Amino acid sequence: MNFSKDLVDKLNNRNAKALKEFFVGFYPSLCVFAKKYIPESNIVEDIVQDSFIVFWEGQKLFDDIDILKGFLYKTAKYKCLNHLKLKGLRNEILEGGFDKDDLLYELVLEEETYRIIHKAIEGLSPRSRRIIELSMKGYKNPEIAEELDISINTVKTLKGNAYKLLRKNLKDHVFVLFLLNQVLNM
Amino acid sequence: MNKIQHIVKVAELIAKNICNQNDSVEKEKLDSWKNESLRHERLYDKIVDWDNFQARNKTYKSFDADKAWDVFYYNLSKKKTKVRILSILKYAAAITLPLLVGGLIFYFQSGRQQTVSEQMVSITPGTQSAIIVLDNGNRINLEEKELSELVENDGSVIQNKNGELSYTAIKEKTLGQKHLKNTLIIPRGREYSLVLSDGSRVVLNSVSKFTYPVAFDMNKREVSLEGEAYFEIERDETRPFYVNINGLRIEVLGTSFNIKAYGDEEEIYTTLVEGQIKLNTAVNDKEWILKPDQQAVLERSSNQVVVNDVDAKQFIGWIRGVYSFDNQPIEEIVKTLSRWYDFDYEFNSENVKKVRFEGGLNKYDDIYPILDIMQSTGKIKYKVEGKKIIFM
Repeated sequence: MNFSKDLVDKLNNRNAKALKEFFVGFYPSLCVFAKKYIPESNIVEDIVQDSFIVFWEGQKLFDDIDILKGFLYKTAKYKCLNHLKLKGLRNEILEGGFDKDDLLYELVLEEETYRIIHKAIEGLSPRSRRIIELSMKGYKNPEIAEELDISINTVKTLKGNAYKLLRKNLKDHVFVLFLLNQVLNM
Repeated sequence: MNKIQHIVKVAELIAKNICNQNDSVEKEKLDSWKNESLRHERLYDKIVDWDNFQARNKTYKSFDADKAWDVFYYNLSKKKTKVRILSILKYAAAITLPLLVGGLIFYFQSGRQQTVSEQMVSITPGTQSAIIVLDNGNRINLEEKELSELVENDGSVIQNKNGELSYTAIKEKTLGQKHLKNTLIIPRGREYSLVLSDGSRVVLNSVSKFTYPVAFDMNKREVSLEGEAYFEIERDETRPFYVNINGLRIEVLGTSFNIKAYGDEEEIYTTLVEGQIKLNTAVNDKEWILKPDQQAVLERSSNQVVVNDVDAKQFIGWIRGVYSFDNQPIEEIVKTLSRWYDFDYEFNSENVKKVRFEGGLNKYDDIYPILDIMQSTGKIKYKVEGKKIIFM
């Protein structure tokens, strides 16, 4: 949902500009996902790079962007398991239930939801974003006021504005509001 | 329905439920999903857990997508070099000559290394440095002095770290106190960035001069610029932000935009990335309002302003280490590059100046591969003499 509607058509035509938009927007999510299987970030990044190559050089066409994302999640998972097998870490696979489809779907649901939230925060003005980010670091209102050199009331107002803006941006993805409520009321 | 699409639907159901915005049918659907298994119920609890979200964000931020894209594109073009060169030559026959496409640069670099290295090491990519002029007129060259912190006369603290100056104003300001001003001068082949006392961020390109108060007024924020800068202004409706350029004044609320206003260029370019800005020319009362992805071009001689729709990203590439050119004459391209790579240049004929190129380059890489690519089109030749490049 974070990508434009015609993006998948352009990707099916292997349009390089569209690829860049999709790659930059989806790469970190795929890394977060793969890191649940393999803790080493550098290996995770290699695997994610390879997964994008598999898509780009393949002939496969996709009906919508979610299906393409699903394809990449599955490809990355497959490559992670291969890596673990090569390293002789079959026990880790069994203990973590890494070969189970259930785990794959749970991780996808988790990451896809958080993507929406992340995108919403990115869309805020620099100041609102900073306030939200400080909140995310666990700062309380008085601490934010101190950090940004503004009054507590201003912090409250800015938080309220940010909240309104997010509600507008997200429309039916109200789930996000629940999480943000926790931030804003902290 | 594909399983993945089903998952996205479930996420939306969970969302609506939490905010009491779903109808009874949706509520039932979600409940039955939750009741399907203990796993579902646990997963639901996990997703709405704030600590879990925070941990995920930390991991997410540790991956640099732009950098990864460069690697990806490099690997891709390495594989497909042959095809790409063919398409470049095809293009070269047309009016616009592709300069280079991302990773291609590496190919030419490795192919030409020997000839390049013996010939010329005189022209190199720029680095991060600047000269700061304090309120009392003292000049400090940040390249010569290792400086981590400075204190201005009013007690404001200026921190210097990783190519960025950061201002922290003193909390209590005496009424009627005179505002101290600093100036940052960026020489050829240099760049620097700055965090002003209100938290706004300014990235300055080569051959630029930026003057700003150490601490801002209560009712307005005002700075002045010559050269090129990218601004990310903190929103503060009680204190509008003004940028003064010779012949132009720009009023800003919270927003980000790029200004290119070099004294040796006829036009001033103001490009808006997000938010909204208002432009006033010095001579008349007219004003122009810019929306995101719009660019105002002011012609200095006539004071005419034209507003165009553009892809703003193309004009701020330099802050991320990339210069890109869209069907521009080589004269303009070389002028831009000469500020960063710090070289002089000469054209042997008027015709050469008009040859057009498109494409981009990584500004922290050597310039020679790009020159070679231009030359490989057969439209121009170049020769390097010390710090000067001659185009034929």
